[in-house]
Amino acid sequence: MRHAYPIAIRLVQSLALLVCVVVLNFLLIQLAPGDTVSVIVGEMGGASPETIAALKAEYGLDQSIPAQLGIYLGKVLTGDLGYSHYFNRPVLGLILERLPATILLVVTSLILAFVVGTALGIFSARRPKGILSHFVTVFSLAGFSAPVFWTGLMMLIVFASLIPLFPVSGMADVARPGQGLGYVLDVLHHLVLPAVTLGMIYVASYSRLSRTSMLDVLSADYIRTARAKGLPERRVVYKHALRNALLPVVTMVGMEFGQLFAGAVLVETVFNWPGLGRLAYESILRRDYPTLLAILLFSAMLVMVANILTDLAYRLIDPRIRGRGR
Amino acid sequence: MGDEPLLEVRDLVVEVDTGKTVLPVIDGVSFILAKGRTLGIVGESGCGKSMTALAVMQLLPPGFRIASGEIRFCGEDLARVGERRLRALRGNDMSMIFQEPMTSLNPVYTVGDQIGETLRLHQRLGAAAARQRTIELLRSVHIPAAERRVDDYPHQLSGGMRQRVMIAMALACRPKLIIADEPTTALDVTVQAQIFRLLEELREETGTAIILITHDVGAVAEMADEVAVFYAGKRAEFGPVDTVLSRAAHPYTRGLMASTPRLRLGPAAAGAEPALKEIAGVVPPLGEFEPGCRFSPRCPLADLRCRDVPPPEETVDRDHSALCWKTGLELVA
Repeated sequence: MRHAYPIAIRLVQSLALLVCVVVLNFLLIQLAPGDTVSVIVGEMGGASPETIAALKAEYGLDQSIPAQLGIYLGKVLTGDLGYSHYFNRPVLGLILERLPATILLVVTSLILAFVVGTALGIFSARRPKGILSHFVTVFSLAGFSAPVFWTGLMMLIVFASLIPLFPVSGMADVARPGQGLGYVLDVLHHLVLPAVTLGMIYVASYSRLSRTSMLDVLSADYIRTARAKGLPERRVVYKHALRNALLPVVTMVGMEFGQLFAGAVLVETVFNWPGLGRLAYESILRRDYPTLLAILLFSAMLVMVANILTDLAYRLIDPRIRGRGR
Repeated sequence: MGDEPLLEVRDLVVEVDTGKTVLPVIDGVSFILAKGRTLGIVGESGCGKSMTALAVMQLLPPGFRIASGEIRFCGEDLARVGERRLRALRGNDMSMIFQEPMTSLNPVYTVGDQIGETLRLHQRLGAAAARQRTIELLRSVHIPAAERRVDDYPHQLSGGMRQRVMIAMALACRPKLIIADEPTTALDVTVQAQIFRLLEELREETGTAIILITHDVGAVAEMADEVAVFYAGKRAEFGPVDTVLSRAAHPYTRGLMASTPRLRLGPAAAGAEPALKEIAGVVPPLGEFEPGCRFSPRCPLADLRCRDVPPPEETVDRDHSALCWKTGLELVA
């Protein structure tokens, strides 16, 4: 396995980075005004100084910040992400319950954006002065400048309200049975609008990038070589040009994964999608710090996994990277 | 050796559309190449050599087009046969070796795949047969350990090796014509000699005709049967290689040879100056030519007529002609 060694290095680097992320997040939360106890006390409608002191001692907030950090790190390493005072249950369970919904949404949007975006880009690159090409330019500009929440609301108005093709919110119909093919189809039906909304901005970005990249590659010397061999045009484009043109797009996909996750917070809120993004939104509103910290940790992990996958994909597409991978 | 023409280019005009104006890059060029012969095309950069090659392959870059003239290959007019027929000819009956071996191979496929592709396409070979034949081809261009190199990617090979791969690719279907467009320009001098020797050897083995485009007058002297000297989109001189090189009729050809450091033919190099000569001035930009002879601003023999009236095609000798008013005059420098 010639990919194993460099990937192992990436894994070790990622783990070190993850520890840094945990520490940084913890310190950032420390900078924010108020703590868990003040939130609880606020919801209780006030409390005596003794009660507050007792609560602080219970949460370990009476100790020094380095000591608190030590305790937190130790717990995170053993898989204990704390207890959510708002949801009133362990954070880990809460997150694991929401994680699949977010992964489903993000991965679907990503695949949608990648496939549709590159297809649009490549078709338009083949006729740079054609109608499709102009459409892609205009569409990508629009898609790129429209904020995700606005696109989401427009989607809701048009495809859920005016033309009620898709459900307004949630991930599944409450009235439907919770298993079987019916359930899968129901979830897919609910998935369409959020996934399209989240994917839109990336369709725009990938179609633009792949169009430029393809135009660039089509004027390369090796494309002339391919034509000089007498290959039919579609083989020149889809065999010799496509793979080279995809390289910058794949890099972009990996780099933008973090942003995609940030976009998921907005989309999940607009569409009431029960994922990590909406959980993040709720925990910020409720100042549910343990939950928020855990979400930040998980999103950092997702971004790292995405980067490693990108690396792997890049190695598969480009043999030059493979050769240097030691 | 049959003298039946394999390729006949007549009054070829190639234009480029710059968006503002349309300028001729090649202006009325003609030549004939017989089966199994080698034609050398020499000239400075930008004089239309490569464009002539690409026009023959019908692979002109966007913006360039053949405005008039004929390109007959085995009797077929290539400008009129259509894309489908062209694809059947390209890589099969005529193939091309490009100047830049570093960028002319696709970086993401193995060399075996890229050579084998031609065989699978034109000769309908299966994967195993194509691979076997590819290894043979790599051996014939003297790539050591061909059975391992076949699975290498271009970046794993040196420039010389890549050019050998390009040659193997061009040879794959035993074409009737190979166009080598400055095949050694990007390579070391020692490797250049190897590549020329290889081309020579392969021509003897396969009997393919070659158009050798180069700056290297020495290589032309060794390899070519006929030579065409290009200047600013015109064919300045044309004829059998020994006549042209020993009794050059066009002042440009003489200047070109005087500025060649390692010319191997005797009489033309006589005089043996220690310092390398050069032709004064530069090729004028496209579209800014004199009304008369395009070489006149740089020509030591030019007079008023040269500047104002386009020179005629002057026959110097049998098969040897030059586009010049002064073919009779000896150059007194």
